[in-house]
Amino acid sequence: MWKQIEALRARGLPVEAQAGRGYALPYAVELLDAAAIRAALPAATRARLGALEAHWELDSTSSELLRRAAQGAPDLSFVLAETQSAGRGRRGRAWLSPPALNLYLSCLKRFETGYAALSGLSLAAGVALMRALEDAGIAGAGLKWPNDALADGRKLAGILVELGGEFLGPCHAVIGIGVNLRLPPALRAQAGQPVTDLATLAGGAPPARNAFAARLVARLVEALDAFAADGFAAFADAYARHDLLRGRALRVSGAQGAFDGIGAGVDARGALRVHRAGGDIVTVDSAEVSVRAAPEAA
Amino acid sequence: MDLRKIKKLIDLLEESNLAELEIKEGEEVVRLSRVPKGGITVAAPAAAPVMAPAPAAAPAAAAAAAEDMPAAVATASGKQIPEGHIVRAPMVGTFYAAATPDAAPFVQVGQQVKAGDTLGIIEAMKMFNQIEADVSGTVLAVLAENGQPVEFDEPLFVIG
Repeated sequence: MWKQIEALRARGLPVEAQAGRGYALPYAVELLDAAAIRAALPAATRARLGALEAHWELDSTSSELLRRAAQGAPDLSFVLAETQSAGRGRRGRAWLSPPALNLYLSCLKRFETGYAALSGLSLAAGVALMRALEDAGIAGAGLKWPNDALADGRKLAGILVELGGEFLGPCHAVIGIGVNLRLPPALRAQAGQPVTDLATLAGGAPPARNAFAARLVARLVEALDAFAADGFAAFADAYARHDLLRGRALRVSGAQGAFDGIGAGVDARGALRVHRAGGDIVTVDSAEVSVRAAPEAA
Repeated sequence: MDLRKIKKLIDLLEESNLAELEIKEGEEVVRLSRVPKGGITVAAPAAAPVMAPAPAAAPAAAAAAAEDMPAAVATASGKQIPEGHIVRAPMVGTFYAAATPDAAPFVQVGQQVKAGDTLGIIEAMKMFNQIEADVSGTVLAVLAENGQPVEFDEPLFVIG
């Protein structure tokens, strides 16, 4: 028993021991339930859905779905897990995945087109997440290009898209999303960057996990169908509304070195536009972008 | 149909024994035919609407023809490309030779690889694409540098 409790604690679940009473969690835990998520989906979403599975533990939901994609998993399949032993962030950084608290979800979308048509897909997934948050009545989050969701400058969710298949089509994308619903204080300290969670944004209790998962699945299905039909053009206006970098003083660090400028939205493909001090606008496909604390006078 | 697609079609034609290739996509038609010396012409049939501007396609055709030369050839950047199977970039982005900044590269020159092995990663807008070997053999050259931008269709690896 003690070993099991320690194993959960090591994963980041804040199990409290109370003398004479036993073990307890500081809040109620709602486990993921694939049937409950399905039942909460609008009929139109259910009709489009491929598989939907909730697991206790996977190496990562995206790794699992990439393997399944190779074995012929249907379009718009979803995989969720209570915990991940090898959750992945950008460039192999670990994504902390304590059990039974947050949401780790991956979605498979198949495309007839080649990779070239998928430009901006990661931004579209971010827009779907923003819509799911709005549906849940949670305000205050926005998107930091290319696809981090932040609130008050703190990371709320991350998105990672992995592509496979033929360069010229058909190809597929696995979209992995990690949303912080409730982060125990010890994990906040481990995160290595400022983080926040839905519990904080909602003023106490986060939304019910299965209900929120269903909202996210519904918005992703809707967004991915729209993206397959019209590409990033269908999301440009919505992205602009959630763009946290527009008008902000930025530092862009890429392979060619770093430069400073002012965020000027994104182009038709979803590439970041940065207005440099010299007056020209640079478009960026791949870079680390940070908001500078003290903007320069224009 | 964009220029990059046409470039890819040119490569497909180059690698094949076909004399002519015609692709229809909706109302767009592109017909590529090989001229005797291994060069390629891009022609839009008169009945079809003209799509990509021909002048822009010409340099791409020239580049494809250059790579058809039997001996080792130099790329625009001056790198020598040994003879062998060329693995190219499927999209614009940043090339990574390793899974994480601390990890060893997926492959090094001289290493044996099997079809399906991961050779590198290209990232753009947080979309990641694992570059896999499509043939088995020995890595003869790694042409892209870790952390550097790559263009669509740029040669990344040579396997022989």
